[in-house]
Amino acid sequence: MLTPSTAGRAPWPLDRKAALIALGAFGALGAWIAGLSLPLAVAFLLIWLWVARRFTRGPRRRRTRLKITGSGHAFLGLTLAVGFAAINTGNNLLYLLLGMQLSMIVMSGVLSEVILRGLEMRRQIPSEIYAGVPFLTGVVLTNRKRRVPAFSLEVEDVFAGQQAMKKCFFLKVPAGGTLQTSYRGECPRRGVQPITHCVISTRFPFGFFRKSKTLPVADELLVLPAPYPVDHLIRALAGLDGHQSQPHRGQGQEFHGLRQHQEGDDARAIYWKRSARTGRLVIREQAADHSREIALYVNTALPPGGAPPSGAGADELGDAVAALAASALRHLQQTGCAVSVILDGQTFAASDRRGALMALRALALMSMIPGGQPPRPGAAPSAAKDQRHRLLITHPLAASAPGRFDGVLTAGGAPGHLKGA
Amino acid sequence: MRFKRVHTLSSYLLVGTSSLTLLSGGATHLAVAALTLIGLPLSWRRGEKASARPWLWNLLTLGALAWTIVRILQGTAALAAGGEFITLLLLNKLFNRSTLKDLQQMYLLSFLQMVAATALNSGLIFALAFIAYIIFATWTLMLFHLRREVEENFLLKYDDSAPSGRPVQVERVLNSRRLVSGRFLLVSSALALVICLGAAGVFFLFPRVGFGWLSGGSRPGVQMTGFSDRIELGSFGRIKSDDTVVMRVRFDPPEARSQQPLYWRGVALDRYDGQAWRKTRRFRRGLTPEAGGLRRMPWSEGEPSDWIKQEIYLEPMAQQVLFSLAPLEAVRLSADEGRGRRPHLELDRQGDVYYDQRGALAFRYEAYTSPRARPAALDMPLSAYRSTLAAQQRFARRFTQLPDNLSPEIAALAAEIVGDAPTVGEAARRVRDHLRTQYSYTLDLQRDPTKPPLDDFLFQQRAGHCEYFATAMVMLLRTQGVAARSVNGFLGGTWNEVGEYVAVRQGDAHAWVEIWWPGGGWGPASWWPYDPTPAAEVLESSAEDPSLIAQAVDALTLRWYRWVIEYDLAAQIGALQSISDAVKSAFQAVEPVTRWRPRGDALWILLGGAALIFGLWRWRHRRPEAAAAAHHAQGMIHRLSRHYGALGLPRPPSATAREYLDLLRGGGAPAIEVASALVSLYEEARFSGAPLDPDQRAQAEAALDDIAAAVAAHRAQAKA
Repeated sequence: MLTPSTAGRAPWPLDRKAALIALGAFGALGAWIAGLSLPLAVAFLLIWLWVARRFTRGPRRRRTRLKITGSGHAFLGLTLAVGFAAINTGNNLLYLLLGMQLSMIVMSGVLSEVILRGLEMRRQIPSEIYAGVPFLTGVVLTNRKRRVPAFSLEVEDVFAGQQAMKKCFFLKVPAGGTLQTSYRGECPRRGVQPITHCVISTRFPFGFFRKSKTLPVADELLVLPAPYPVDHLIRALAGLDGHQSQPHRGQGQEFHGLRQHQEGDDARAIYWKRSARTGRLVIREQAADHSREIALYVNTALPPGGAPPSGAGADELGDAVAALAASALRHLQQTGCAVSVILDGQTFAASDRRGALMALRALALMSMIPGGQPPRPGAAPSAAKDQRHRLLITHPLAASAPGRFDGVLTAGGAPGHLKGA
Repeated sequence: MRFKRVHTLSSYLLVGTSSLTLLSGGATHLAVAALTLIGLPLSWRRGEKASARPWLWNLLTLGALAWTIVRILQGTAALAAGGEFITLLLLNKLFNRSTLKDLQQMYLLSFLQMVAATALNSGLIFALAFIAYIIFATWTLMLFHLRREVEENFLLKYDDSAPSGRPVQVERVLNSRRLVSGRFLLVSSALALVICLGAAGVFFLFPRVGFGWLSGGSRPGVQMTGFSDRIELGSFGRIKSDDTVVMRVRFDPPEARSQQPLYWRGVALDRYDGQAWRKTRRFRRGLTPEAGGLRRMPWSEGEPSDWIKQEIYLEPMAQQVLFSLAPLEAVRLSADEGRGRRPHLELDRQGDVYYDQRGALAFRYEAYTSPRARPAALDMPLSAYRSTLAAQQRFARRFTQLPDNLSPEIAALAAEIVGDAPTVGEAARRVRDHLRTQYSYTLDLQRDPTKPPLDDFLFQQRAGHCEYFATAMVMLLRTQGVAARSVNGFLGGTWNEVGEYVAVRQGDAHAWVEIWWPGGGWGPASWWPYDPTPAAEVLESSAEDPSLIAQAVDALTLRWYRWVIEYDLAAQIGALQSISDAVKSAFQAVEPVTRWRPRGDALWILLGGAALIFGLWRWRHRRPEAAAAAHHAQGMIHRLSRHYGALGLPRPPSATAREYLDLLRGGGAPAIEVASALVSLYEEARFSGAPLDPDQRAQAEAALDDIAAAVAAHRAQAKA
């Protein structure tokens, strides 16, 4: 059960804010006209605006932080020493030095605040992120200040409940300018990874303090299950029903024929040995596997009655099954098969890249459901006409699937360990 | 300009400024100063690299330490020797700088040089150096910070493709011309000036409540002769060409300065032994302040409003004598207003006033002088004067004393000059005029050492400076039975247009004569001055009027000493009082404005203007459509969270709306399907960039109402 939180107060809508400010302004004006002295009326208005601002801005969040750096500690120590010496000796020139140091400290705080103002950050998240695979996230920083450049900025993304992932550094963002850089991230698990905010910090101008500001730039990363090589398993499965590739051009694994290179052909398909021998570019064509239509049935059901045995959480089981399904999907698609994924009653036709991405997204979000319904291919009305090869993707701890399958791929105790059935 | 070069340049300007500030204090050994001046450019040429022989530099450092210890044992002030050691360490670092840490240590040593300079160089040059130091420190620290960021970030952290530990882009960035420009330095200079203002603010406002455990503030004083208890004849001649300002005087009322010439009386001397003047009576009595801090002289009558007020700022001097116009009636000390130790004032039998102040600081006081007319007693017949004087034997012995070896020619000359003068005043006038007309003024003395100085002056050289004229007149009058004494002080001064004060210099030192007249009491009021020195020559021999720039520098120096070096609690309280008065008067000035109230048309214009301003503000802060849609969507989820929060199911800050829905579902929240529909609406409003249409809004409102009702029912059920 969740614990009650105090962060439920919403910021006021602008109209209500405006009404509140107008009320205070006209109240002060009226009081002044009625005889209140001008300083008191102004003081009343300022207090009113201050209270209204605090009252209407929603949940209070600590947006800026100040941390003293190593150099800052040394400088503060030096300042204390000079202050001590000034008080003891009465040497006025030491007071001047002390004044310089204190002013530098204040200036440091003011400048870092100015630097951090007017900054906008957005991310460029790659469309496909795989668990455990490093990826580059673009960070675009815009300095909205019209005259003041921003120096020495560190931007770090903060994921929900985690420390900063990795920082990226901007030495100088010109006034009104935009700069882009990237950081390399890695998400260990599939699923939705919310980025709650980003923290921008600077040690400018003197490096005595690190001032950080939280920008509420939230995003969600959808981490797809990471594929891994399953060639041997699939090849073994393909041999079960004695199916052979048909002699059509395609992206299968078998050799189909040679032909002369034409404009628009993929350079990777050039058969260099023959090209060298004949002096003309020759393309090596592969046979298509279109005759192989494969349906991957993903078993997300756990036995009724609750949690799986100790040592294996439902999430880990789900990760293993999703990874295996994604690997099989990737492999079969690369060999030119027409693959569809059946998950929780929904069918994702992964005939093209877009379809495959949809299927992978569904796999990223799937979860093992205790007491859920295992896939039953025979139950469908069109099952009798269904000529597809049916492969079951399951886990030993998952509920048994009663339907008839052409093959079963079972994820082992740990993700990546496979047993062909 | 390349970034690295700018950084190196600013670093050198920083350490150069601090080194020169320390060196210009004059307390540094010549060898160290020479090493510094040679080492700075040489180290620049050497560039940033570590020495191949670090042991040699370590040895040199040990040598510098030994040199410092020896210097201290020889009697050099520890602070001066410490400053030299810091300078040598800085030179070491300049020649061996290769890492950022070395640069940091250089800056620290440079700062320590400035700390040492606060005690060793308190002149106006420190003020200029301090401003330059703040500018260069701001540049250097900013550039150093950027350089450190470049070296730390571009080296390892953020270039994953590079082999670890190898510099990738550092050199390229450090040699970039785009990183810092002239504008960067200009803006940082402006920031440095703000820091200067801040430093001044802290300086003036920081409470001066020192514990004084260590030494107090001090500054070098003026080295002068001519005002001690024994003065060799001719000593003034050595200082007549010195332009050093000794004191600065403001008059109240200012017109009083037109009283020419201005004789700043210092000490009176009564006994001449043929070679030197000295004081015979050293008894002094203290002068205590009365209410208001005024210290009256024993002969003083009248009120300060009747007197000429002189605000005098006297440079530190070894002989702590007060100077003022004569006759002095009262003195008020600035130090009496503070909380610190009050200096003693002492008055001797000749009417000279001495002060006693610890530490070498300037002495500020107000002197009050009464205007006076020539006393009628000077018209007393010479014979009657002599008999009146003879009645006071001890007094007469003191002020008619003659040296044992005084040649009879002098007495004969005096008798010849005075002749049959009917009155004492006439006798004095004849002697004065004789000396003025028959002798000439010179600082280029051609003395015959075989003869007594006075004989040499009167009968052989017939030329000399003020001391010779004064001594000659006193001796000539004393041989004729007239009580006279020699007085040392200053004559005139230069009017400073910038600071509006009279600046009196060492070169204005002067000696003249005072003649006693009966009936005036025993104080200075019973003595009347005569100046036998040819006045024109005196003024001509004084320093030429300084240029306007020199006047401005002197005025600035005065302000620097007065408001910085000698700024104390009393001055602080005074300054705060002035600020308070200024604020009060400002409020009084705007009082008519604050009393004004709009009536009639003005009222409507004002209200209309306020409404217009408010409308413009509202229009300026209007929310863009997409942002408004997102804002509305967030409001929906907040309200959802508030409703379910009543059941202990608020939205965790990190949860997305969809995750929150799952949490609600898992927590058994009521009306979950309605909530699901609301979340769908939220996602559309939040991410589509377009606001919900009115139907969808109504749908969302209805959903929220349903949820509120379901939650209320759930709670009522739970209570039941």
